[in-house]
Amino acid sequence: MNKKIKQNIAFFVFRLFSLLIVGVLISILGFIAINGIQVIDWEFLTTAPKEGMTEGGIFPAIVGTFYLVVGSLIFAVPLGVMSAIYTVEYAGNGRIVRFIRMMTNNLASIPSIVFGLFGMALFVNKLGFGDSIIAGSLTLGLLTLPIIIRTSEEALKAVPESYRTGSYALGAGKLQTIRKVILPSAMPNILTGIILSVGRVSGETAPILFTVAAYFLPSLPDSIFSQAMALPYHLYVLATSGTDVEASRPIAYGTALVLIMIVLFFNLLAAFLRQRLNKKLKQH
Amino acid sequence: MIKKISNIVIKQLLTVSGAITGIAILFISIFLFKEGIGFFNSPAVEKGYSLYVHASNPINELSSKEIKEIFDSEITNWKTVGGNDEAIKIFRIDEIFQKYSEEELGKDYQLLPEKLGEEIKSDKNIIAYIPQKYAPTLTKGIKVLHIKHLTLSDFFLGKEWLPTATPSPLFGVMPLFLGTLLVSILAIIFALPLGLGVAIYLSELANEKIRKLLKPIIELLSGIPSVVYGFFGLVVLSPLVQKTFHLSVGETALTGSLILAIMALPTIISVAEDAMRNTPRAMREASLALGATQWQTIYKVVIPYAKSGISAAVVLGIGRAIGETMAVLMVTGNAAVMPTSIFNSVRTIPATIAAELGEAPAGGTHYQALFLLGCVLFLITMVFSIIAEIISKKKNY
Amino acid sequence: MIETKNINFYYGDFHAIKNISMKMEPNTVTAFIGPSGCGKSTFLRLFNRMNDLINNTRLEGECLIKSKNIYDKSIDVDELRKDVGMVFQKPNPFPKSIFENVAYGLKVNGVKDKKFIAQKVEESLMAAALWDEVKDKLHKSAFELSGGQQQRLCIARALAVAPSVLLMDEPASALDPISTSKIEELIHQLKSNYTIVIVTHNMQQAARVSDKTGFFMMGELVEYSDTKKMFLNPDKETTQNYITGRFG
Ligand SMILES: Nc1ncnc2c1ncn2[C@@H]1O[C@H](COP(=O)(O)OP(=O)(O)OP(=O)(O)O)[C@@H](O)[C@H]1O
Ligand SMILES: [Mg+2]
Repeated sequence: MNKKIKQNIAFFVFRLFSLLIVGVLISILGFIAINGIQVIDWEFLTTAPKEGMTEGGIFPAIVGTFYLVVGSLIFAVPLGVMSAIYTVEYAGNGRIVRFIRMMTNNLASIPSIVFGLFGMALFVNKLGFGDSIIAGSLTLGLLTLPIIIRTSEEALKAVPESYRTGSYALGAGKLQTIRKVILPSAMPNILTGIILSVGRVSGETAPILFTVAAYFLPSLPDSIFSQAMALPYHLYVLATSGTDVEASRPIAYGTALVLIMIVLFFNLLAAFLRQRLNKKLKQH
Repeated sequence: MIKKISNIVIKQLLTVSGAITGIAILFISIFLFKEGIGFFNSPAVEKGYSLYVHASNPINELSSKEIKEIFDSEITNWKTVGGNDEAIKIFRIDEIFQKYSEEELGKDYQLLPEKLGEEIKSDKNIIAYIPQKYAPTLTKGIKVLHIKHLTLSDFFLGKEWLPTATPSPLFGVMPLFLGTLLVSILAIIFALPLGLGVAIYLSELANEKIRKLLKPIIELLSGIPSVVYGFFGLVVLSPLVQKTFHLSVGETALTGSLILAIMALPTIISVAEDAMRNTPRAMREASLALGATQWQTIYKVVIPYAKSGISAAVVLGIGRAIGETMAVLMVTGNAAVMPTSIFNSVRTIPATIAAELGEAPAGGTHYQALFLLGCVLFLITMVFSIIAEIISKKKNY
Repeated sequence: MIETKNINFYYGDFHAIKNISMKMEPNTVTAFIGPSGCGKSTFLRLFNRMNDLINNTRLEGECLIKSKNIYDKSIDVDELRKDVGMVFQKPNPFPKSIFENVAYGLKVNGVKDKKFIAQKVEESLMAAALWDEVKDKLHKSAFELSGGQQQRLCIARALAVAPSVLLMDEPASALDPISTSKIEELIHQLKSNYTIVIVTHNMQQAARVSDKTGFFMMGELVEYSDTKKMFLNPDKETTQNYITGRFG
């Protein structure tokens, strides 16, 4: 009977732990949602900060994050997808693939602040871009490369072998097959990877600290060589080093909520798409 | 013809992009090391400054630590650093302005070097810290101290991180390194039992419905940006810690590790759960058929079987925690001192980089030191990721 | 010893066991034969409630062991499984040492006395005719043994907790002829102390080792009688066809 009691205690604890985790998530999201929802309105989303960031909105930060997302994707998507094409369609199954995969894993494990250092050394200083959208985008692009490569690889591998042989049988070359047959049918899955990395890019702070982020800009960026404000950095500044931290707290809650909503929206969208696609694949 | 060439070009392009991650890693390491390695060619005093002593002084060179202690009045006698048994007289450039009026120093201070030279010459036991711009006219009576370069042991074994101290900044990473270790290991100590418990619940106890609900929740947890965790930690957790333990400030190593624990949970849970689910059904059945309870089966068969997966989860979790920047920066209080208690403020390596790089002039010693920290971080996380990979491939028997 | 009364078993909507009633006497060997997928394993696994582990299943009827309904609420499943040992089709030793494998059942059932455990391990390995082969490497991994040795180790493991019933689901199907004959010999020896139920695809094996044989088809018990009679003079034509191999 003793062992039964032990089991009951252990299982009770595990259930409790699981509840606790749900509780943690709910309390984080709930806390920020409750405090943030009070400040979010149309004006908050569409105007610039005022009065030393104790009033006004976060429009320039939203715009900056948008630019950074687009910029990093322009860089990372073609490279990542091409890399995946090479690994899946050309590299075979040997040592090269293992090496590439190891490198991708390692790149994914590098802390984001190290990307920030690298971006500062190469893009900001060496290439002379200065603190700019392009330097930030390139840095962030590098950071999301592993995500895009991995999801694209999976997407390409999920394309049935029969599609390939079918296309070759019609006399199409390898590149043609990739372009006309494989890529189109892998595209939806690749898209989920891209969406996932949008979520990641919009939330990263450390890589943009020294490559693009500005504390406050009176006007929106006008070229890729301008600095920009960005949501995660804005939140960091508001929370730790604003002119009046207490007075800007409501704005910080609002910013955090907007940031969370953007990130979670893209994560959920990717999860939803993946589920839909898996179902579709099973039906075939 | 054109088609053929374009085909070849595209193929080459694909090959290059195949290697892109490798190239990226190579570039990252080259740039980090290139910027960081200059640190060891830097003199131990602030760039653009020199130290002068009386020509009769037998001391010719000093290390950064000695300089720092002299100017902090911790060393007050030349004997301590190998000189004569005489009290050290510290001289800073400001003192000259108290002695001479601006007219006496001339417009644009043309006469300043000369006056400085005289000043140094007049005291046998003087040590003067002077910008090279106003380098004293070198007469027979004075000499420049040779300053040792910063060394590996200054960096790795140094116990003080005072990057902006004058005249001799100190770049000892020990406090940062220990701070990082303390916070990360503490985080894993919190996260491991919790994560394992949830992983066991998910893989062994929960029915399909609950699993389908809980898994996305855990994924959401990993999707929240670290700056949001930091913000939450700052406004909720650290006041809580402060109140609970009656501390003067809530931003402590403990607070940082709690936030890190929450952030490490999703990784630990999903890797450990995967490993446990991979335990063959035959193993479980064999155990149950011998009269073992489900719990006995879990801890005697499933967990040992998943051991390598679980260890990989731990290593990965620590690796992540070590590299995490923003959340830790916001909640650990950022005191770059040797950690003595979990209730004190600490500062981690990534937080130091994030906090100081903005103020460190490009190319300066401080800047180089921060890049060196980046190298250290890069190597540590690389090692952790490789270890995790090796462990997870290992069989348990 | 074992008695089933009108047992029906369902995997979801699938009716896997159809109204089977049968009785097995103590200290006998009963063989279950029948084409693949007819429900032999399912039926066997009802005797130690192994099917409880599968979601979405349903049982009707009664299964009595030592005159007690093992599906009664008052029954402790772990105790039941201790009393009704099982040997699986594929050898499934734990990734532990040979000694630890045999000692496992004792330890999980609360035995702490090291001397007693060591003695039991030796006895069980002897009973499983494995002692001489492994006595010098008890602390080596069980995975270093051959397939046949592993299966005998699994039998020893089952014997160590002193069950009264031993269920064997195709215990020799993954083994070579020599290992198979060793296992068969073993079953002969164990009969005097245990009630054994064995599932097999091998007609000769059933004929060699068992006292009684049950022939299953599509979830039904077609015929159940003395092994001799079954193989020489079965009542049903389907049985005859199956035994003589004139059957898909
Ligand atoms: N877990 C399960 N879920 C659903 N159906 C199952 C499950 N296990 C077995 N079945 C079905 O129940 C029927 C009986 O299976 P069982 O394993 O008892 O057959 P068997 O007689 O042991 O066959 P074999 O000789 O191949 O081992 C089969 O049709 C099988 O498909
Ligand atoms: Mg079977």
